Amino acid sequence: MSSRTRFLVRRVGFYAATLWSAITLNFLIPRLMPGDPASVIVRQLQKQSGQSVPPESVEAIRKLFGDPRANILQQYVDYLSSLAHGDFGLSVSRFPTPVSELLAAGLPWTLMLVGTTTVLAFLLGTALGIASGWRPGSKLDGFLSPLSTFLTAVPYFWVALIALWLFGLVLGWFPLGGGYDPDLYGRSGFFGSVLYYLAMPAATIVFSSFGGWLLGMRNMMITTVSEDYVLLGKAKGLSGARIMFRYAARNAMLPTVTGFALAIGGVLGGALLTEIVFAYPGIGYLLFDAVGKRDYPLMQGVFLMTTLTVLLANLVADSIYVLIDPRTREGGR
Amino acid sequence: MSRFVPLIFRRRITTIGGAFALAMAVAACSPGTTGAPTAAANGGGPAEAINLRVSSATTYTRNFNIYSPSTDLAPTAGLIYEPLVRRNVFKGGALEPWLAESWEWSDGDKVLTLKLRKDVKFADGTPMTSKDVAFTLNIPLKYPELNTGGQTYVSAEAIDESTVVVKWSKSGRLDFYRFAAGASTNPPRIVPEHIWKDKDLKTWVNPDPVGTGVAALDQFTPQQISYKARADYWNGALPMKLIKIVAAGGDDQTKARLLKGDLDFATMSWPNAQAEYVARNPKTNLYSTYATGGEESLLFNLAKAPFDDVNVRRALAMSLDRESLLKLAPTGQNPANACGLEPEVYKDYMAPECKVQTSDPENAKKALADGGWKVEGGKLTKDGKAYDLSLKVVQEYTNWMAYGKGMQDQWKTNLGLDVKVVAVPEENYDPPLNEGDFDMALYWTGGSNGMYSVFSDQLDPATYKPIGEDSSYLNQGRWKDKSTVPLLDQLRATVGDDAKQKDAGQRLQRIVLDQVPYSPMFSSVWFVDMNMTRWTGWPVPGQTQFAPHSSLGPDLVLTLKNLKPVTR
Repeated sequence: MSSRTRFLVRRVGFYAATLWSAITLNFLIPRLMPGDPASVIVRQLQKQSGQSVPPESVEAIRKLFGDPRANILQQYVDYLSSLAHGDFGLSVSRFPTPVSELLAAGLPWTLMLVGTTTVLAFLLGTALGIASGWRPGSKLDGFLSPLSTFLTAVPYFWVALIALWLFGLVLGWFPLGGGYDPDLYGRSGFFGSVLYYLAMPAATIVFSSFGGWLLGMRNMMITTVSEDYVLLGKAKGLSGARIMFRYAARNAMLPTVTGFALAIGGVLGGALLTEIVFAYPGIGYLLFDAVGKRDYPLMQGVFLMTTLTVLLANLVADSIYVLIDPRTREGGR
Repeated sequence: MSRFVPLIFRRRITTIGGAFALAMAVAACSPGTTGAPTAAANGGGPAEAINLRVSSATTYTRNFNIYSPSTDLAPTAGLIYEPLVRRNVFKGGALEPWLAESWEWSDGDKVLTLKLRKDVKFADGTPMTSKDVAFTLNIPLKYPELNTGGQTYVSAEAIDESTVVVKWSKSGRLDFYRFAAGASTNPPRIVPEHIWKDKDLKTWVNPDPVGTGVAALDQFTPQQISYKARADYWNGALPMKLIKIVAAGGDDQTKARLLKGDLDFATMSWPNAQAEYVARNPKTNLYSTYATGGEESLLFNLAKAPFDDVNVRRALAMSLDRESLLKLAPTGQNPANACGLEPEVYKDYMAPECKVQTSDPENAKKALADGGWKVEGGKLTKDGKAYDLSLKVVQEYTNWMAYGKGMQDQWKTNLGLDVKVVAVPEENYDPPLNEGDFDMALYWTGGSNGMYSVFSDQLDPATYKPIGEDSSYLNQGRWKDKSTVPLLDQLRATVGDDAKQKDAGQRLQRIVLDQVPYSPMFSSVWFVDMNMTRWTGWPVPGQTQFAPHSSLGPDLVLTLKNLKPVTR
């Protein structure tokens, strides 16, 4: 067996094992949480109506939402077999809507929001990081580094709430929440309203996450700039831009690229807080809702999808690394 | 970027609320924060649409099957499907005609003959007949697992075009309230047989609802459902053309939208609404509460020492100052009447000595002494035995957490007692209460479904379960004193005889007052938030015969009917 095949087999085996444990944990964790759907529903009814719930109702609700003490092993087997058929089951709280349908409805919104912002924040942060790491201590660096340290330290929800309050409520420039203007649904201005509603949540995410990329890139850049091959490039009289991008930045990028691949994997796990603060109709809010209502099938669907994308992104990151850095291939031998 | 971290999840969300409250407080100091209301549909003229927020959803699922076993139905707010009767929460929960014009009881109250209105049409133009009503009433019989409204009748059939007979195996009068919207989870609301008859109601989602109600579906989008008002509605047309149910999201979102004037109406508790909302623009911003007839009470575990001694219960109840507790989290609620009935709903039935329990530390100490109790080192002691006391509250309810702390302080100050406050996550709250695993707990009691429902809920020894057995949301305090039995029997046997009802009801109130099986603390209310920028004429508490709440069906229709557009 060639070293390359052996490496591949080992990686695939590792991912298969991780996948199995992810699925099993995904099955177990919601069941270890306290509470069951029936009592959550009785509670909600009581709170909404301000009335006690008649015993006949309680009985019917318990009948409907099942006994949490059913045989767990059987549940596990059923779960695995339906997963194998690509069946995520039916949502409990939004019965009889299939979980897959709810996921499909939330997915585009999350992908659009978190996907674009992750790419934007990565590009912006990395570019600025290259610039400020090229000449550490320069005016630009002296401004950008403390700023990004500050930005990464500010809690995200705070940024989001301030933005919502300032631009949504006081100035009234942006809508207060939602993914689009429902009055334009299915009409000509719909796409424009989607972008309009996207602007503020997206801006807040970019605002609080590009600093992380910037700092990472800057620090790698500083290390690389002092390498001998950069010095050599300078001695050869290459242009500044060529050294900066082809010699220094390219090498400094390595960990950032991995980070980016992982961040793309995390996209589905999504911007939970963003979606809650801006009432954005994505996967994050779906999960928030499902946890509150003890909607196990929905929770599991979201978790599973998130885990799978993270795994996939890891695999991609691993492979990219092997491609762009020959040293890792050596290590796999 | 923050990813999902389950363990700190709830805490984070609470912090969001706190942060937002702070942001709002800042906003209160700056000018021009109310913002311009979004222009009316026809650009500056009187409004044609009204925006309501009736739940905390951010997206809706297109499921209009009102009997579907799902918690997240597309909200219809009583605008599409209507009940047979309306419950008047201002008259002790008396039932009044709605789709049924009149009704009669016979055969020892086992048979109910309903006469239906003849002028009711479904939105597709077909008239509503007794067949539709019988079909609707048979749904919980055909699908017992869909009986989330807790119906107890055994048959329902159409006799002629506009008469339906419903039969019970014993007297049904006390369960008839479950026909009213708001009174039970899932009251029968009449659906057209010609559309519903061949469907599997457990899985069908009824995408295009057709009902007898005041509106019909105009457009469904996951973020907003708009209903258009019907011109041919039997009970008169509405002043607006469109009613939009907006998926505005959580409370903080909703607060911002109300302040901005995006929303005309929401049902949400808003602590400090006076300062954060009403004071910001008293001309348009309105926050009201309506008594549900019930209350948030201090439950005692009567099956457990020292709560089996009435002196202890009295002392604990009397040493609390409800008025000042409410100031810890002002949501607009009031101290509750000590007898377990709220006068806003039951004014004709109140026993004269029933008042709000005032703080009375002297008599509280005396009650303890009468029972032979001493407080030593913060513990309640008797005959050499010391008792640790604890109080359970729901962790997620910020007001209950505040009240719990306040009660702890007051018991310490007034009686010298150390009571441990145990914060329990919401989803874990009910099972221990049902199984009797608690000392004291805050919980809901009462309601506006009539006195029998109120008192049989907590005071019927027939529902007594020993500690460790599931009491199924009844009698969690474990009351087994037989003194209430003849009175409950009298309430059951004399429905319709107001004098006898009042007599039994008052004697039950006195039992609550004297025996303190539980101690009513705060009135439980419906919270309503309104912005009058576009629509005026909202009901005023104390001067209205209907409560403007989306869970009350006919009452919301009456509210909307009486609104007037603001001309600008």
